[in-house]
Amino acid sequence: MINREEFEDLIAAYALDACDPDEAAAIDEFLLAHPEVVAEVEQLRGAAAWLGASEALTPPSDVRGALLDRARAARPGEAASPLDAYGREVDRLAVALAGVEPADAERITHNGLTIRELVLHLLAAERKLAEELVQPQLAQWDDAVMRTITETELAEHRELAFHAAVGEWRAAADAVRRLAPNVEHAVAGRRPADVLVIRAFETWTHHDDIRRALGRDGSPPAREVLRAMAEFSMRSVPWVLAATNRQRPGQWARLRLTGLVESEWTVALAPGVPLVPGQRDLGAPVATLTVDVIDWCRRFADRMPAEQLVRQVEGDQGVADDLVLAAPAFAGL
Amino acid sequence: MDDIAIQADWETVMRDRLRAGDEQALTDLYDQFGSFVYGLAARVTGDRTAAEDVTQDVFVTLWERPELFDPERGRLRTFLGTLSHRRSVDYVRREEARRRRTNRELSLTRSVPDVDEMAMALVNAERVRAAVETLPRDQRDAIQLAYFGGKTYREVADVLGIPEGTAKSRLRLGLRRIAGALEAHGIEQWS
Repeated sequence: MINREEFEDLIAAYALDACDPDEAAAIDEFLLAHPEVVAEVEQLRGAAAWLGASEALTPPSDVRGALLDRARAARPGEAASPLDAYGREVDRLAVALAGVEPADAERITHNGLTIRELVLHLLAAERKLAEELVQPQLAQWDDAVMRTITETELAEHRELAFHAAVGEWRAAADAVRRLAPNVEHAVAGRRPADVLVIRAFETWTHHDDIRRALGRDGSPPAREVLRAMAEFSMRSVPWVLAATNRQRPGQWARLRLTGLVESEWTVALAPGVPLVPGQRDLGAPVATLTVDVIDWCRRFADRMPAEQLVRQVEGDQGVADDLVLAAPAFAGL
Repeated sequence: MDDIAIQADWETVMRDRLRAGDEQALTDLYDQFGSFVYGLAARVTGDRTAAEDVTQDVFVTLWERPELFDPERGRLRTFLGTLSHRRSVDYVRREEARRRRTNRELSLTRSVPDVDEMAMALVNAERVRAAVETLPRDQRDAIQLAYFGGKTYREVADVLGIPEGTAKSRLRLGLRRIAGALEAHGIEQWS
């Protein structure tokens, strides 16, 4: 890898795309390992971009239509908006819960709670989220917070009938749907859009917990919703690696998701790393991990043991193992 | 909330709309930045057809992989300008493309700049042009050869008959001066 002096020597040529490919790749590598200098490069790239601003020309009129044709062909699968993803998973769970007999609500689910208690856990989460959307208070929202508010909810609603609890949960979720579109502030340090995707993810996960406890078949989320969840999980990869002390600064891997949502992702193996346009310059990934998207999401939610995750690995097996082991680092109850 | 924060928020919203597959977001961004991307590509490639291809490639890349744009790192104009320039330089550096460019260079006539481009962008572009004009001649020539000529610093050194280290130094000093002038006008890398 180049050193700081060589980086400084090449930085302007790099920002102007005036380096040889091997030098540009060396700078890319340096940036992956030194996120603290990214702002400096961005400043020079910004200046370079403005150089081109005085050249603005109206493109021929047919370019717009051709672009849309290519866009439609390029991405037939689209991600649901965070609010839509959340709303659709809430709706799916509401339908499933409507068919649960109160006696069956005492069945034990994956995390040791009964179905009824799991609904109260969801109620606690949606109520807390609605509060945070109105008046942010939490600095972060982690498993400890979830456990505390769930215990409080369980204590307060010990006698609440199952379908009454479902109704309360649904009302809280609807409040979130009404409030979220108008919120600009961060919620527990996250963008509201990300929080909604997390809630959609958790709603689906617990929906699946309930389905399994009842011994029922179920269907996965819609492709668009699944894509939004998969994308969120990919953006989380550097952070789950860091949280489990498995980060590898300066390296990157490729994740290929198959099945309902086929997609390919380039993920940095440590936080704070920029996504560089023109990633061709980054060279070969240290590992390529290919997994089914549903399996991956279930692993991310800590609902599938690492050893059960069917996967194909090219490159460094240790990196692939770390990705699989670290995936559920942020999974809670 | 200041203008920069408003711009960053707008760009975050647009990125999220692209993620959600909102075609209207793509066309809105094309309408806003299409002339910038196309004009830069046309200037660097010297070839209108190539510039059309580059323009489509840039916006299709943004459509397919909106996560590549991180509003917390930089502005959308920088992202699109970087993509457009890289694709254009790739084109220029292919030998066959070079030949075609030479043949077509003479037939390329400049069009009237797009008046629909944001008024502030035009004002800022003029400031950038002025900042470039105030550069020492040797720095200006090096930057124009590299950025608009699509040449590497080694090729810049060869054209100007100077050592490679001097070419890198002129690019560095010149670009930093432009960045400094932009900051002094409150433009920086955003807007």
